[in-house]
Amino acid sequence: MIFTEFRFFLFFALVFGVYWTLRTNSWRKAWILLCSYAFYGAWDWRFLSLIIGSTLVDYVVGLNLVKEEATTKSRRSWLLLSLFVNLGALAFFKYANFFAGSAVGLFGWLGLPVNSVTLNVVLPVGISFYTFQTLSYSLDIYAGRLQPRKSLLDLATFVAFFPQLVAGPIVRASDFLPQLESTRLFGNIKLRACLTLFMVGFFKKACVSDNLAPVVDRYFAEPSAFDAVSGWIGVLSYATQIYCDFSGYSDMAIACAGLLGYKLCVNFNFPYFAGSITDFWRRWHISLSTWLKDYLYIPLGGNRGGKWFTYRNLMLTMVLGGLWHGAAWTFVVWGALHGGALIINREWSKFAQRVPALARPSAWLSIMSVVLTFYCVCVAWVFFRADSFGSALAVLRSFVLLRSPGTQQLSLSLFGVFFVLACIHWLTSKEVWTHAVERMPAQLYAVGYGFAVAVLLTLVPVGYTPFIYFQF
Amino acid sequence: MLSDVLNPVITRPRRLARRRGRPLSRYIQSCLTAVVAFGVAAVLLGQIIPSPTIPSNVVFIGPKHDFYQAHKDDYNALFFGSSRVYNHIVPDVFDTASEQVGLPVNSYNFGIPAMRALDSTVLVEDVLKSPPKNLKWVFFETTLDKGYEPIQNARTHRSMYWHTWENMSFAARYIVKSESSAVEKAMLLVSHLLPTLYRQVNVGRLFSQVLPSEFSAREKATAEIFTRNEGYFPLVDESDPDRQHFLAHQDDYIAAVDKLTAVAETDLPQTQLAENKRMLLAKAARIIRAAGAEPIFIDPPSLSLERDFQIAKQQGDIETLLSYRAPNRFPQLYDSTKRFDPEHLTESASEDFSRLLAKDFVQAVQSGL
Repeated sequence: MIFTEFRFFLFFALVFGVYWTLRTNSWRKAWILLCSYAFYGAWDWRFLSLIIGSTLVDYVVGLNLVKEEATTKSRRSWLLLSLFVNLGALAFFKYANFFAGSAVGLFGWLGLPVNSVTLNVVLPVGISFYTFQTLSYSLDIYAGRLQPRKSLLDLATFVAFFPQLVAGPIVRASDFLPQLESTRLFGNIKLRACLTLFMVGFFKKACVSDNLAPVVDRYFAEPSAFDAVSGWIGVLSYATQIYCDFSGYSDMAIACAGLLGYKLCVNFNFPYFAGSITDFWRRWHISLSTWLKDYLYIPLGGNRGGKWFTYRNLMLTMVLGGLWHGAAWTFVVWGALHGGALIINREWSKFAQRVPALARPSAWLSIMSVVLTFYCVCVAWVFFRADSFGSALAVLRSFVLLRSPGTQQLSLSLFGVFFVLACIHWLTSKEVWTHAVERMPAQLYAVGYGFAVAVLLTLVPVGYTPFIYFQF
Repeated sequence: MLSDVLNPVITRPRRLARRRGRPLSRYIQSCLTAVVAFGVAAVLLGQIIPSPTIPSNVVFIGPKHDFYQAHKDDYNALFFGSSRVYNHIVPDVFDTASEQVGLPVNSYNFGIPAMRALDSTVLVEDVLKSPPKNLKWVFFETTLDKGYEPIQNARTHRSMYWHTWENMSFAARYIVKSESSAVEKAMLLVSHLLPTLYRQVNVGRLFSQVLPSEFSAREKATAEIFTRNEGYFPLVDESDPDRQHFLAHQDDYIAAVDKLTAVAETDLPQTQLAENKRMLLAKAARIIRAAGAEPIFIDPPSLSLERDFQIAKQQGDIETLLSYRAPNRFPQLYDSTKRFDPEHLTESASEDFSRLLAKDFVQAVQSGL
């Protein structure tokens, strides 16, 4: 069940209707939990045991971490148990075949042939997301930043909350659990903002991302068959597709949570308008980048050591971030490219501070830095999307060297589509229409909403395309 | 919240105090306004953006229809039906065999995989709205199923295109008049609601009008083959999962043939065909005759134990039937070496079947049908 399916609308209408009819907070949470498990079970009910198991382990770990008689050693053991269970499940389901395959490849390269063992493992949807959430719960308690919850219902609802369960945003326990403690008031929900946000997310996912998906699939299936201009179209299509797909999902998740009275963190802030790679990571998948910063980069030492120590930490964080996205070496390269770009950007920033013209860049220079950042991000996306290094290099030959042996062409009209989308995006960043929507009279808004939905439906491609980030 | 998310740079102080909510009636009023506006907009857009009667971007239908449109006046015989026409009737072989016994025929295979009773009838009606000038015979094959529309098809061009109010009304009558239980009828009717709704709210209408067909390389290759063969597509892919399954389960196939043989050897029951099935057959015959052609029903060499077409012929509901659902009479069509999978013939068996059909057809024509 995905947010753009008709059955999700029916599901959510039922959830919403019953939720606001229930009087007590406990019943509402129980209802949300039941619906969340039903939502997750719609993919594969067997994986419910994973999410329930993970919740129970962290519940027990949380309570034991703060026991008065707990010693440092026992606390560490409890934390290790949480890490072992959560990361163990992630490692088994997501990385078992990757590491086994890589080891076989390495032994073969060393002249020591080993029989390949491939496990027929199905990746549970959203495992990377809820694992990080449960980990943050245990880690925050261990670090003394959070008190454990005595209510198992609260913790289970936090872990399984369906709007963000399968593709984020990655919610921190310290942000969400306090919201579960008080009864949400219907009068406090921002109905118009949530409905509009859902429509914006729907537009991004169903009308933009899903329409670009066949173009991207066609190009990346055989990049060498297309000319260099098509290479640009293919890469720009993917950059647009992945942004609209993921941020569209986040918008819809935030909107659904908002309609139930809960606030989720912002996940995207116009990342393609970033003026540097560092800025990009402050705007792209914010919940992941802050998670990696707080639970990986800083514990590794952050920038508290020397220059090389900082660079090592940056590179490690980004490489592991890449691996989090998928069990393939192309994701590792994607992470390493971003790590390298962050290091270069760090050095450049130090240099720029010493040059007055660069310390206060002109408008022209600012635009150039946005374009250059976007180009670098697109180069890295090639590795994120390509099925193999050979395929990635074929794409880069077109995108960077402007050379390709292919003769097939993708439609040039897509440049027009990119231009229109970029204009809409820029106008949104300048709050041109968001204020107007907020100030509109209720009846006019209702009429406009009805018309807008009718128009959007005509642009929806026939057939469903799952969210890209579900696979992570 | 909208600005918080779409414009997170702009941070505003949030008023956390409990606000006095709007009365429920105001929310309901706004909801109703939005629903009415949506309905009006959907109707207007439905008028502005034309809906394709036959979807151009469905691989089995679009290229087949395009080729037919370009050459239709060359044909005097058309075959309609499911994969048992699409994969079994070789127009070239059929035409040659007919001509050899004295009847010049130029036929086109409009068979489409996975067609069911309702959509087959709709397709015949749509195609024959402007029939070929020289059309004389229309061959029609279908399974007279319960009228179910698979839920996974709901948001497909293939399903949406034919769910007009008129066709939906026919589908509803087909289901209501069937012999299914009341609960089953309700389920069957519900299965048509979603594609009807999607069609009425114009889902994907602009998308399908603006964007060109994006067929995969495999789909393109398939379309090229059936276009070259005037609609016929031979089954030759030995790696096909159905083929592999068939080869691995020959015993099951032989048991199914024995069962069919036993049924074929019994006399036909002296009952009337269900009212809905008679209604559908009558409609198909009416459409074909209105196009100036003679309807010829085909009962292909499948393993289904249903004998609807034979009963219809016996009761006089249809006039001409060429039936091959009898392993005792047509052992050459049921030999496992002639089968690609349990329900489909191999390429060479399809050619044999086309010759056999041509011979029977010419005989029927010569005896005044």
